[in-house]
Amino acid sequence: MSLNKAVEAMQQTPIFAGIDPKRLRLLAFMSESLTYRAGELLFDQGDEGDSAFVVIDGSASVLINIGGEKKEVAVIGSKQIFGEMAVLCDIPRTAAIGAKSDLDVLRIDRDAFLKLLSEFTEVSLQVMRFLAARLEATTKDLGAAQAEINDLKGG
Amino acid sequence: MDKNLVRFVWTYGRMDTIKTLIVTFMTFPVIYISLEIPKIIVNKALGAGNTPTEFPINFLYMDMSNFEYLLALCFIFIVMIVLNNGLKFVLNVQIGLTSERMLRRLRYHLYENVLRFRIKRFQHMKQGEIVQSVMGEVEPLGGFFGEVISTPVWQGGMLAVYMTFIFLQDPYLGAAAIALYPIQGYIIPKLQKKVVKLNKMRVTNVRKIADNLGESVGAIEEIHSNDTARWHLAQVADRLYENFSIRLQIFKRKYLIKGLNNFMIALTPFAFYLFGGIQVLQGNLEIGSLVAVLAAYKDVAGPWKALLNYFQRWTDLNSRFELVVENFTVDGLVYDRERVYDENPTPLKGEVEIKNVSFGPGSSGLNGASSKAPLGAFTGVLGGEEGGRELILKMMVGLVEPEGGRVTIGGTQVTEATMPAVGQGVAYVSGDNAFFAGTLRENLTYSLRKSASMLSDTDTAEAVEKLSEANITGNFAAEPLGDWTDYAAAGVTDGAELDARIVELATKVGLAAELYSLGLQSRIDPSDHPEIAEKIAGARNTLRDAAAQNRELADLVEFWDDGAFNQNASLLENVLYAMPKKARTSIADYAEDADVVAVLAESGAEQPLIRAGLAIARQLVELLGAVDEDSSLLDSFSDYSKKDILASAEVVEKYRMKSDHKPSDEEKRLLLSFALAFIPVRDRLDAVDDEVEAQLLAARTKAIQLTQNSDKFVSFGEDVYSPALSLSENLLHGKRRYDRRSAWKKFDDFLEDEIERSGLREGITAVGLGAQLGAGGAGLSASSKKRSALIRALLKRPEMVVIDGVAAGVSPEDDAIREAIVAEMAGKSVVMSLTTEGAARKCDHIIMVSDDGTAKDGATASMLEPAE
Repeated sequence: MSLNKAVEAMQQTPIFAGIDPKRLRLLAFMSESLTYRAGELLFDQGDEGDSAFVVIDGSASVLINIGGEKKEVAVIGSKQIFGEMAVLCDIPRTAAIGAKSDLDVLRIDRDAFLKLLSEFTEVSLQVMRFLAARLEATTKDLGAAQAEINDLKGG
Repeated sequence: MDKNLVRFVWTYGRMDTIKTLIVTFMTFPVIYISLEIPKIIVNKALGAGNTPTEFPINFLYMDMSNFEYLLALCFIFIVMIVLNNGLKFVLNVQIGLTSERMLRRLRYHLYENVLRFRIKRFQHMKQGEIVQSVMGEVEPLGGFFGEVISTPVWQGGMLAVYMTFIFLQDPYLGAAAIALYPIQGYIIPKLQKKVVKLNKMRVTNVRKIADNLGESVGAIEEIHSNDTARWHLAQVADRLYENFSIRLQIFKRKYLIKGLNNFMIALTPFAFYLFGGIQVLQGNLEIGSLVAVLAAYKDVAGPWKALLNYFQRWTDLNSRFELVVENFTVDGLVYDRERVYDENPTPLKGEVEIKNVSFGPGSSGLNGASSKAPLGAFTGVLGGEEGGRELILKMMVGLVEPEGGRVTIGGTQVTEATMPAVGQGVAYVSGDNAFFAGTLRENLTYSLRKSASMLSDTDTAEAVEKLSEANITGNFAAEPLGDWTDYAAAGVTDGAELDARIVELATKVGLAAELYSLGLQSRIDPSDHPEIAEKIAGARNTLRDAAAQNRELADLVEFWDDGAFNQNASLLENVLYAMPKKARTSIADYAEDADVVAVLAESGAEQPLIRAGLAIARQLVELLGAVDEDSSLLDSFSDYSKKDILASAEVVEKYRMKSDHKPSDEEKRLLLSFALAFIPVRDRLDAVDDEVEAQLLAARTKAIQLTQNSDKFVSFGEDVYSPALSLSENLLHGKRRYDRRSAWKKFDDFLEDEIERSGLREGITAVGLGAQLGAGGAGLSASSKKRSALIRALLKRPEMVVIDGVAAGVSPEDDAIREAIVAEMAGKSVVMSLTTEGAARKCDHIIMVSDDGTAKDGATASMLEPAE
């Protein structure tokens, strides 16, 4: 699997969109390209979160433990990223991820990502922009939800 | 040890000093003759004397003309000069030899004393101070030892010779020459005294600097995390200033003394010219004699200066010697020599009795604690979390000396027993036992390193000299690199049995898994472990077949096929289809291996490899071009060193300027090293296109022919163990797939099963013993270190083992280790610190340490609440 494919996939994710492809290529070079077979687990719920994954090819299932059984609650498709929050803050995995089909991913290690952030300020800025946008969207959603609750209470 | 420098030299360097003195005395007549001859030449041969000489003159039983007479005298003169300088050379060498021997002895003495210090001495004497004393402070003494006795004799003797000569010429001139000596003899010692005092201050100050330095290195993490660098800098700066001001004062006084001396020495010729001149004018003194006296006096200045200089150095160095020696021989704080060299020790054995011991302040100390640990029992020590428990355990093995009270084992006070008696009788394990750079085996058998491997003088001239020098200087005449293992102490007869015993213990205390994985990662020389190597090479095909048949496993490995490119192997392996016999640390290093380079060139792989290397270099430069030169980012690529990445930028630039650039040898090495270590699936750079791949495969065919019949390579096609690959790589006729790394565990489990089945496990575990640990045992995890410390303790089969903070909890794992220790020590005493009562149920005896610093003990049933 060449680095180019990984960079292409990264560019499609919101967090990396807009970052100089050269930097993405370096990040991809410092990361691992891994292949999983259908049914294999990438990580389990509650595991230490130390890496983010970009799906290059194939699809993955988001699995939640319900009554001792893993239930698929969502599917992650090609050119999507998951686990990125774990790279920025030290939180355990909130769900398990399994390969739904044969799955090619780029595994971005926290240390590599942080090194890149500290080396290139423009990358940090872009990531901040992404986080701010997400925060804004979340705040908006929260406001809307709050308004709805108030409506329901009042009504 | 003698605190007086002269006595020290006379006691230990007597023979050397006497030899020096003999040579010294031999020089005196030579010097006298070489003074006498010029006078005879001037006065007699040249006729400048008052009474003219009659020729022919009878000299050396021959009649000589004045011309012959002059020649003969000059000849004697030149012989004397040669003789004089020859003797001086011998003398200086002898002085140097004596000095070095004495210095070696002194340092050895000091170090021996350090090892003989009572443990409590180390509370006051820190590492920095000891190092400074043994190495730096005594260094200037080195040049002086040989001179202590010989210089005053030599220079004083010369002075006497010159003075005798002058007195014989004219008593008045003689008197004039020494007229000022009494004044010098009075003033200079007075000034010198102050210098000595300053010197002592300086030494003490330097010791404190050494201490500060040592302390800040030890506390470097605290300094970084608290931002206190400036405070430490200020502290050292202040000490350095003190050093400066002391030295300045010393300098001023030293040069004052020197100036005074020079002045007085210069005054004397004034007297010669005045009184000598009058004598000559009056006809009482021949002019030749006055010239000779003046010449002699010029020579007198030398020894006299040397004597004064000697006196200065003597007072300085003698005080320094005293200062150092005093520090290492404090009364009551240094054990007798017997303590180290006890030939017939009685190992400590028996009931441990702690009587009314006290140590330290507050709840972390002990205050009148008394307890017992019965012989042959498993004693658990509970409570005293603040430090009391640790103190009691350390006191049991003599590592802490109680301030009050006493600790005995079988009636012998532990701190008074000899080192061999303690070492053979008891073992101590804690979380922080020391580990040394070396193999794991060396670290585990550290407790058996007691059968001294003595020097012998049978092999070489060097061995003879080494032994004789050791004897002359009173050093321990042993060879540290020899086999020091006391096999009998471990109950085995040789190294193989010892290895088996270690593996047995490792299994019991839970270190076997670590050993096994260290073993799998190790590279071995097949001639060291012929059986394992053969078995592994033999198992390779079976393993491949087994793995190939299992779809899941086959998916994890890319097997070797001599006609296909292996995307998960380095280009080196891909081209050679073999590995060199001589192992190197990393694949990139093979770019420096002459045999490898030759095969690459001959097989036609060099050009495509350099092309690939250049492609890698270009991409690295592109990827990392914007990165700062000292960024930590450049250290993150284990296969590409920072130095090489930076160097590659220059090469890439040269190719950019001139596409047919002819690379220099160093550039070739760099590009080759990039290419050889390149693994396509892992590194994912665009370095090997279809054309290069085809060229490399073509080169492989030729390389196989070249390496097949070479004894420098092991081909992948042979069923032979390859020393350049690790044990686990040798088990596999292929490469693990890097993109399937997440599933490698499955393959590890498969390998483990197969290894178990083929009976290789024990052998591989033993190989793990040869793994290098690095400084301070860095290659081991904290828990492995604890287990290793347990093995070290149990290996020497002590009468009692005291364990603090290892396997102290209630987990089933800790419980199993405790059971193994008790079984291993059957009939002997085991004392362990335990964290909870639950962990103490299986003890025979309990010691309970209270926070008020007291302790009580009794049988387990009487000490613990019954379990619910």
